[in-house]
Amino acid sequence: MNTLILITHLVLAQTPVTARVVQVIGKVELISGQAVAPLDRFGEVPMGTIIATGDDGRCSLRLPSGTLIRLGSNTRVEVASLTRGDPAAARKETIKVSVGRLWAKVTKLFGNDSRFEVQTDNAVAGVRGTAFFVETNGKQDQFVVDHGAISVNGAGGSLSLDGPGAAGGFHDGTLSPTNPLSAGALAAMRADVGGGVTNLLADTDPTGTTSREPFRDTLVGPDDPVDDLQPAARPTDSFGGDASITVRLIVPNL
Amino acid sequence: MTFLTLVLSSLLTAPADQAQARLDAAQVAFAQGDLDLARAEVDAALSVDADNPDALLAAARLARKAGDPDTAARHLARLLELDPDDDDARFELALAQAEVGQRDAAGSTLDALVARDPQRAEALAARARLSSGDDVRGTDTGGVKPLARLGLGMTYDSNVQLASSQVPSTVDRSTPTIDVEAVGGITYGRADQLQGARPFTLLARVTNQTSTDGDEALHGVVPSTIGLIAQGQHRFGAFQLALDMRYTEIFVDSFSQHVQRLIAPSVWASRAMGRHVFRFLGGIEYRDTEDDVTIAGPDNVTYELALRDTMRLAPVRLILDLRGAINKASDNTVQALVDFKEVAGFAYAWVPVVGSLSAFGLGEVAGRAFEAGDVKEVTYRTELGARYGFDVFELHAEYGFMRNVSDRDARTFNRHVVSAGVRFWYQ
Repeated sequence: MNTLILITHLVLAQTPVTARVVQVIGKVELISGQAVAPLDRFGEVPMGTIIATGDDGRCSLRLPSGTLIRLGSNTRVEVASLTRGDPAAARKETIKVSVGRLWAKVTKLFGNDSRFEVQTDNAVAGVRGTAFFVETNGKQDQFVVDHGAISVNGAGGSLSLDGPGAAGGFHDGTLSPTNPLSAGALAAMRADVGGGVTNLLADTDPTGTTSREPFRDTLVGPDDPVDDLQPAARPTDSFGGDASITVRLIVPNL
Repeated sequence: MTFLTLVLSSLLTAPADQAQARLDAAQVAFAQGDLDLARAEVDAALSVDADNPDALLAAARLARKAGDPDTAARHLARLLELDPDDDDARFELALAQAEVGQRDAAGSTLDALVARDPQRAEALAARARLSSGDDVRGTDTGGVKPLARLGLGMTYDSNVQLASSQVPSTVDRSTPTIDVEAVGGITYGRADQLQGARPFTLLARVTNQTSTDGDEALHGVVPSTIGLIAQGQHRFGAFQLALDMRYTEIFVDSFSQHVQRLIAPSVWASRAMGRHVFRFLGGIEYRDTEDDVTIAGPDNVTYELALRDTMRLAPVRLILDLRGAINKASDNTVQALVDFKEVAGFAYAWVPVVGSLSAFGLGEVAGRAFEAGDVKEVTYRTELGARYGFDVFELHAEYGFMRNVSDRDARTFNRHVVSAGVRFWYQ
């Protein structure tokens, strides 16, 4: 009896499921074998199918785990593996990118067997709760962290990328880090895969401000914009030094 | 013809594409800080494509930002009907439900989220706060909150004495110093509607600098301070009013000699208008000097008015500031180089570079005229700095250059300051 229950649980824990289309802009096609059809918003995408976006095409996919995938224009991906367990965060999901640009916001993995991977022809990016970009032309790959961290493995070695803008890729047969991207460049990449509103959604913190900036604003004098500034000592001051309280101490005999 | 083209174009364009154009416009307005226009554009996107998931989420977030959780909850509930696996929307729905007082519904929403993702830390924390009766966001429960900061650093100053005649010009006035700053205190109240500030703040602050060249290199002028900062803020309609009081005892040579007491009250009003926050400040700085301290001069007071515009041009923050000041000796007698009028302006920009690294730059010009001797001078100041933040501490470095040009040659000088250090935070 116990064995039967265990087997039932294992079967349930690896149920094949479908991804859900949540946004379609411009021309986007669903390719299953030889059949090609326009991709419909809120339609389902089974495992093994291919999605291809046109020159003006973009789309977003929701995986059953909650992970969101956004595809830029002229992008072709295959939903290579898609199984979910119970809870939804326990799953195995693999997206294979042939060409183009992809952004993924990944729900954290639950359990040791869970896996979320984005594959290119050259490398595999594995993550545990993060958002990142993948861009490939089939020969060269670029991986960029939006937030969180990813590890990239390929024939040329492995690479860990940590923090917003951290970047690396597969170039000339090896994996190597590249110059980190600025906040502006990240915003441009978000806009490229989902339109400008992706920046609006990224910039609005749902839980509000918890940073130390309010303290910093309190600590500065009413006339200093930030307390990183050196003291704004005037030549009428006798005092130099690093007192961020403005001091006007007058020397009358000059 | 143009009108016809537009009509045909809109008829032939899919609703999702039309909505996307509106959402792009909303992003531009949002980046410029114009939330009203951003909301209007998102509403326009929903009017042509009511089931657009991006528009629904954007509308919900803008509604919550505007203090309208009811509308936010409505948009999020619809979004979850269309996209039931959107756990971000589910979490935000819980926050919105809690904000409108539907704490049971918020608990159920969080339970559903935790069932899907048992390790989602923000949902677990929000559920725990909800169960204990706290603010579900965990950002501000309104009570007393302690805060503290310890700063350690080094500064190289090419001219600690500025242009005082008390040190001959042949003496090297440059020195490296080791700097220590400790700040501790409390804040009280909720930061809602106060641009991130809490209503009451009380801080104690101690600073000290010692020279690696010995006390002589400080020339008896580099200050050590101990002081209190009290600040209260309140919102009256569209305006935020603040009262700030600072009391500082100033010493030299590492607290070995007391030279001055500084009392500085100020009051300011600010108002947000689109991407701008305008602030008008009036303040007084009264300096009560020890009678037997010859370097300090007479007691004197500064009256200051300032107008500031803080702009958020995401991701850059830009501040433009214009101010005027009058300094007077307290005994109403005209004092050489004590009584003066000053007009100053500065531009300051802060920009996130990458990750936790940010940088700033400042340029300032100040001109002043002294009542006695018809002395006039202009001060130019520029500064560049960077900060890299970690969880509990941050690294910072700055370079500043100041040049004073005066009718009196002895008061014309350059000053270079390089500083770097680490700040540890408890908050």
